[in-house]
Amino acid sequence: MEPAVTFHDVYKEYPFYQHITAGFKSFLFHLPRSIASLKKTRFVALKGISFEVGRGEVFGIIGKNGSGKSTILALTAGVMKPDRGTVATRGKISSLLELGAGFHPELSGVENIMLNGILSGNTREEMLKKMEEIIAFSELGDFVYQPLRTYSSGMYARLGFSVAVHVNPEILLVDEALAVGDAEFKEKCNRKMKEFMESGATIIIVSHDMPAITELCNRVAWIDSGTILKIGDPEDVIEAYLNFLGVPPDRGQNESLGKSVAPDTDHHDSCVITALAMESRQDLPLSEVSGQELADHNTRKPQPGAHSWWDSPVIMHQCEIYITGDPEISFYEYLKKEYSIAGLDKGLSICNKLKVIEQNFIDHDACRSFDTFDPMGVLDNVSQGIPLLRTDYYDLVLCIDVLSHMSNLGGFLEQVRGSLKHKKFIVAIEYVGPARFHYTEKERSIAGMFLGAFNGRYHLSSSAFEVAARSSANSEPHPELAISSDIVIPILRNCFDIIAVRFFGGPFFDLVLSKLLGQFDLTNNKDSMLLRTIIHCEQVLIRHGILGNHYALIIGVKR
Amino acid sequence: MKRNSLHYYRDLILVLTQKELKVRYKRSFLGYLWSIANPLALALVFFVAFKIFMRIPIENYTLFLIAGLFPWQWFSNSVNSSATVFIGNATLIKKMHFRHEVLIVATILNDMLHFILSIPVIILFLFIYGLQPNVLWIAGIPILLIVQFIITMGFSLAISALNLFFRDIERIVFIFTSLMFYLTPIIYSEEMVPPAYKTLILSNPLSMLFISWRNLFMRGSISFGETLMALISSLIVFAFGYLVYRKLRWRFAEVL
Repeated sequence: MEPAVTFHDVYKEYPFYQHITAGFKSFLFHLPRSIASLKKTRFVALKGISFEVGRGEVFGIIGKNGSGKSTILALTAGVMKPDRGTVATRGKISSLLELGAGFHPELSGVENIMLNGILSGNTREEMLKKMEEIIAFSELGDFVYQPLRTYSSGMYARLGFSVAVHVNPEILLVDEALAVGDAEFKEKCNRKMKEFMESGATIIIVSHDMPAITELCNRVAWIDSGTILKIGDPEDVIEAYLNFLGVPPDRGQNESLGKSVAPDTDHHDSCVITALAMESRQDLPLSEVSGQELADHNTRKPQPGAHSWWDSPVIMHQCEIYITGDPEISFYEYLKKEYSIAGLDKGLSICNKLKVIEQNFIDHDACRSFDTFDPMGVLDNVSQGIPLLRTDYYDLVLCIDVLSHMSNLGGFLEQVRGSLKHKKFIVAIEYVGPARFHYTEKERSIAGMFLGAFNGRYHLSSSAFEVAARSSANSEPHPELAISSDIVIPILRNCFDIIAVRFFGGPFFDLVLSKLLGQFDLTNNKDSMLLRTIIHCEQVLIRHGILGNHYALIIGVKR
Repeated sequence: MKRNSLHYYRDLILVLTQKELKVRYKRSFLGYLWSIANPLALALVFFVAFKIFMRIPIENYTLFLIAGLFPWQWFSNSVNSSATVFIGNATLIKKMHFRHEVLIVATILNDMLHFILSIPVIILFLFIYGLQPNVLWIAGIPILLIVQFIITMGFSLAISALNLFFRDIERIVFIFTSLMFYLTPIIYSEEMVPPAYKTLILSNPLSMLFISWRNLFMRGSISFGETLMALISSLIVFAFGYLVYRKLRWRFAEVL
C-alpha cells in the first residue's frame, strides 16, 4: 500500500529574515551586505531526511527543542515547501499544531468551528452537519456562542481538539497538544485518539511526553539538529534518546512504559545511592549521617558577594503571594490546600542560603525535621549525586533554583527520587525559560521605566542586557555543562508524576532582581515597596502576554 | 479532489467574507453606516473646497464626486488593508494549508459588498439632481465590478506579499493610495487636465475604470472602448501582482 506521508531527502533552511524585516531603509542602505547575509546566515532546520509513514501508522517524533520536529510537521501540513527533496502526502490533513491554531479571537466558538473546518478542507454543509457533535464534544456549553477572546486557554484547547478530530482527517498532525484541559477531558481525547487509530487514520505526533509516545506510537523517529539519529521501535528509540539526555536508560524506559515501580522492589535505587555513599565516605555508615553533616559537607566553597534573588525575604514573600494568590496564605498552606501536601515527617531542602520556604514549613509545624543541602559552589560535584543521601527516607524534597544548573539532571533526579518515599513529593521552584535569551527592545524600555522609578539611584549597565544566561542564583562553574533550562520540566516528567506547573515570573524578575539585587537596600522601606511594584507590574505584563513567563513552581510525586 | 473543487472555494470564500464582515464592525455601534459616512464626508469637503470656494465648472458636482468616491472607497479600503491581511491571519497561514489568496479575495469581496450597499445612496443623489438610474446599469455595474475586482486584486496581492518581507510597505501604501487618488480623475474631470499631462493621467491604470464608473452613474452610458482599456490595464496589474505573490508565497509561513 502506498505510504500516507513520504519524505525523500528533504532539506530545509531558513534565511534569517531580520535583515529585511528590520526595514526597507536598512535593507537598501546596506544592500550588498544584506544580500550577502541573506545568502550566508541561514539556519538549516532539516539536513536531507527521508522517511515514510505508512497508512494507519502512529508515528512519533522526539528530539530536543529546535531539532527540526516542528519543521517536519509544517512541511507535512503543506504550509512550507522543502528547499530540496520531496514531501508527498496522501489524504486529508488536519493539524493540531498549536493551541487554537487558526482561530480568530473576535469570532464566536461556532463561527470558528466553521472557519477552521472549511480551512481544513470540508464544505459548509459537512460542517453544519457535524456542528452539534463538535459542540457536544467540546463541552463548552453556551460558551460556544461567545467570542473566543473570552475563553480561557483550556477552553481554547478543547475547541481546537474538538474541531481537529471531527473533520475526519486521514492524516492527523499533533504537536504537544496531548495535555489538553482537565483529566476527564484528557481521557476523552485519548479515547478519541484510539478510536482514530482503530479507524485506520495516520497520526504523526511530536511530543516530549515519553510515556504518551510509547503508549500511542507504532514507530518513533529521534531527530537531532535536522537529521534522524534513530528510527524504529518506540522503546529502543526512546531509550537511546533518554540516554543521550543523561537520564539512565533503564529508568527512562520503565517510566516511559508507564509502569509504576513499587518502593519495596526499588532495589536498583538503593544500590546506586549506597555505591555513591561508599565512594565518598566509606568510614561512616549511612544511618549515622545527620542533616547537619550533609550541610557541612557541602558548604566548602562559599561565594562571598554572590547575590541571589532567592536571598531576599521581600522578593521571596512576593513570590509566595504570586504562587498562592493571597498574602494571607503561606506557601505551605497553599500546597496543603491545593495538593494535599501535608502530614510530612522528614524534609530535604536543596537550595541556597535562604531558608524562607523551609522556615515556612517549620513555622507551620508541617515537617518534623528538615535536612538541608546547600549546593553552592559544588554544583559540578552535585551533578554526580549528593553523597550520603538516604534512600526511601524523605516525605518532601524542596529544590529551589538548582535543577537548571545541573549538568546531569537526569542522574541527579534519579537519586532524589530514590531518597523519597513512595507517593511523596518533590517541590521545585525553578527557572524554566529559554537557556539564553536576549532582552528585546520592548523589555529594555520597560526595564528602563522601572529603574527610573528609583530616581537613578541604581545603575543598570547596558551589559546587563547583553545575554542573560539564566538566573545567577548559584555560581555556575561550568555553564557549558549545565543542561538547557527549557528541558527541566520534560526531564522532571520522566522521573516523577508532575501534578502541577505554575508559572509566576518573567525576564524582568530575572534581570532587575538578579543583576540589581546587590545594590538594593532592602531595609529601606521605599526600596522594598518599589521592588514589590516592579514584580507586580511584571505580573500584569505577563498576564497580558507582553512578557513571557520564565519561572515556575513544579510539583511532582514519586510514582 | 474536493479541496480543489469550485464548490469548496465558494464555501471557503463565503465563510471568510462573513468573518471579515463580522470582525470589522465588531464592537462598533453604527457598523456599515461608516462605510457610507466616510465618502460622504469627503464629498462634502471637496464640494465646499472646489465648488463653493474655487468654483470648479462642473455641473452636479456633488453627484460627480460621489460617483467616483464610492468606488474609490472600495479600492482604497481593500488595498490599504491588504498590507496587513496576512499578518492578521498569521495563525491560519502558519498552521493550515490553503490558498492564501482567498484571504485577499475575502477582504476585497467584503469591501465590494459595502460598495454595492452604498449604490442606493448614489441613486438618492441622482433623484435629488432630478436624474434617474438607467437600465444599462444592470449590465454596466457587474462588468465594472469585475474589472475593479481584478485590478484591486492585483495591487493587493503584490502589497500583501511584499509587506511580509518589508514592513515599511504598510506605510508606503497609504502614500501610494492618496497619490493615486489625485492622479485619477475623481474630483476633477479628464477634460480639465492640460493636454501635456493627459498621458500621465491616462497611463494610470485606474483612470479608465473610474471614468467608466462616473459615466455609468451620471449619464447611464457605458463605452466599449473605455471599458476594454480598463479591463486590459486591470489584467496587466493583476498579472504583475500575482507573479510577485506566487514568487513569495512559499516563504510566508517562515517570515510570519
